[in-house]
Amino acid sequence: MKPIELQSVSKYFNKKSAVLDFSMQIEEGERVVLLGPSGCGKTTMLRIVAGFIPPDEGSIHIDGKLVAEHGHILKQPEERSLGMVFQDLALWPHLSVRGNIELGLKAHGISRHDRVRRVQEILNLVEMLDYISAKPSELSGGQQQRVALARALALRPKLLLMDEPLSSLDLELNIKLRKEIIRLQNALRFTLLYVTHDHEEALDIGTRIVIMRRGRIEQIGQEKEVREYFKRIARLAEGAA
Amino acid sequence: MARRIVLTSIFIFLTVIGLLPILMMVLRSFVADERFSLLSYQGLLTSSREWVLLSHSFALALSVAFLTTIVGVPLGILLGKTDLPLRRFFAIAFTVPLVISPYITAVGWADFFGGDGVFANVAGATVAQAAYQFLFGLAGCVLVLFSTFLPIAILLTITALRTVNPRLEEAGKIVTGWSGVLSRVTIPLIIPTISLASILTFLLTIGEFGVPNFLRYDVFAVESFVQFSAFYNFEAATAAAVPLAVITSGVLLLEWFFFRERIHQVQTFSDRTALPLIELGKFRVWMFSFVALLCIIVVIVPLIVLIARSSSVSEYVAALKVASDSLLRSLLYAALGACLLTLIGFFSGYLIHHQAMSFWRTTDTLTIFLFALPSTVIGIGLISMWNRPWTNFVYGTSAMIILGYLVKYTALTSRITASTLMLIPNSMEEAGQVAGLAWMRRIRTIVTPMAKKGILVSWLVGYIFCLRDLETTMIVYPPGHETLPVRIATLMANGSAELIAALCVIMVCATILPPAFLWMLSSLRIRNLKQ
Repeated sequence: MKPIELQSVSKYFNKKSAVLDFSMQIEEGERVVLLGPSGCGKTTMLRIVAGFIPPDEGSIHIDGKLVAEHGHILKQPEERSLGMVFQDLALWPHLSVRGNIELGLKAHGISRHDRVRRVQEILNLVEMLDYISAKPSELSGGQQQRVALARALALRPKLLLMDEPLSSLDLELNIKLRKEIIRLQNALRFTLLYVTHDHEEALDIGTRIVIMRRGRIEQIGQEKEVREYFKRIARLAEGAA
Repeated sequence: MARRIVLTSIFIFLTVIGLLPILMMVLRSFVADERFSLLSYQGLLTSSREWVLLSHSFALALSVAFLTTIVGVPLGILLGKTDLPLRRFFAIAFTVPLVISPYITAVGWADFFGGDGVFANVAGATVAQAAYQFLFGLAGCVLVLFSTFLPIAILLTITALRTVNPRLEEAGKIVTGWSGVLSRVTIPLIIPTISLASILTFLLTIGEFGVPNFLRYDVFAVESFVQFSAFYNFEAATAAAVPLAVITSGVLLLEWFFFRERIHQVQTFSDRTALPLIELGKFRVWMFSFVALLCIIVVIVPLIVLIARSSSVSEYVAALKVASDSLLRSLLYAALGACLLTLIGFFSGYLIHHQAMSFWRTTDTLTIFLFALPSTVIGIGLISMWNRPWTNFVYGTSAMIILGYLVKYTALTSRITASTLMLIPNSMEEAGQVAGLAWMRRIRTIVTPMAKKGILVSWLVGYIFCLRDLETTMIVYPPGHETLPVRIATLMANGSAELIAALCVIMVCATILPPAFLWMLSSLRIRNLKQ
């Protein structure tokens, strides 16, 4: 059973295609990165997988279950057992770090005793236990990032979606957190679908990289193939110049 | 599923309490002796008086809309974009006439120009008498309603200025001075909002009957009210109300056709660093004097006159004796109305902001239509619907007043909520959704706490407008349920000027003090939390 199967997924906004005939399968424990310039449809694709918007054409299976097809969302995001880190992190400003993580656990009916244990466990894992009572506004950018990650992982999802989570950070912190994400993925063995427009970030994080252009898949491959692809593009650009 | 049920219920509720009564009123006006008939409209089409009423209504509405726009827009620019001293104070001060019932301002002016008023002492009895006569007519109505609705143009202009992309102004500043930027870049960009302010003022004026009734200027709204309350001629009242409904629909349709999409395209720019204030330089003193003088004339004079007239404690004791029950009722109904308006406005604002169901635009248009619709039309519509033997449990009770508030003012709380939600990123709620929170729980634990300031503003606006409401309440209130504005309006015929003035001051205090107290309390709490 594949964590994600996307079959001929297309999405249109005002009759213009944002995603076109997108098909791929993601294996368990893979780190797949959607890479491309802004407006190429990678965030739209991620939001379709999350269940926020329906695909106009094609179908999506998560864990072997059909969750959306042909303009219909069959399973809402909260029913898909996935975690997500948003581009703006979306930490709830009125809740503490504990409150941010606990809210989802409460919604899943987890007992108070287990909630406390799991909040501590996950904060320990992202090295943020000391900030358990802090409000998001009291944390630095990198710390907020870790809390967002902890919140997404607290429910132990099999699939984690990340939408350009490091784009607002400086390069040093960005590189440090890439390693952190890989460490967590190795430790918890979730499947990762990651969106970015940064080549180096994509090559660092992804075990497989999907290059998107104008809503279509331009290339799928591992690091070596992707580097070859960019060299080819650079040569073409030089030739044209 | 819960989201669908709640939002659909809100839409159905607004349709049933708002649109259905209007449709029933219109349909009923075409029926006589259980058959289709144009009898109610016969007089409307043939009588020359109806044409006089129509021309009066248009003259008043156009004059007020024109004056508020040509004064309010420059004033909005002065208060929102220049280094004018005390501009925040002025912005608040100019808002005062909007939050109090307009007839209170009218009473203040009548007192000012009256035989024993301040003006007579200064200018002499003959001049004062001429001015007093001048007040009772078109000029007086224009003066009072101009000061009442001036804040609409000012506040909308200030708000619109914040939606202009500062980069566009900077691009203009490179090639021309501020006057050129304002006239060629900024003002053309906010023209849809300026038009909205004019249209809103036009519609609110054409539906206003409290002031024309007091200052004895015959307009359709007064005619409709008089036919209903004095002669209990329901058919004639409806016939006089229908043209108002038609004018409102027509004007809103025009506004929707020309400006709707353009107004929806504006967005707030959070980057305020690139927006330096315009330095008035040598004009600063002159501008300040002009604004201060205008503020004294339109805001302070009528209020001071009322306070001076009712300066003795015995007047207040007498006023409370006469109207304490009405005051308590007013406070209770306004608080209850504000709670319901906040609740309904919250969900309708949510529906509109998120475009959550296919009928979001219909809901938006419906609430604005009902807000712009003259209160007489709403009142008569509500009576058409609920005055039946089997609905007497509503008709005979104060529920009618609350229904009137909901029909008339949901647009305000709905728009405030929509604006508040615009400031909360969608990802906040989406994060809750991914975490497994059901919709109601997301609303309760994420959206409501994040929108609490907007919800408080929504409640305060709802409270103020419910408390100041005269027109709708005057038509629908059942015996024994009169509110303070209604009591004041009825006492005007035979009460002493001192008593009326004291009641007006009590009314102003009841309108302004509780919201000011609540606002201060919440600001204090926010400051403490920050510390």
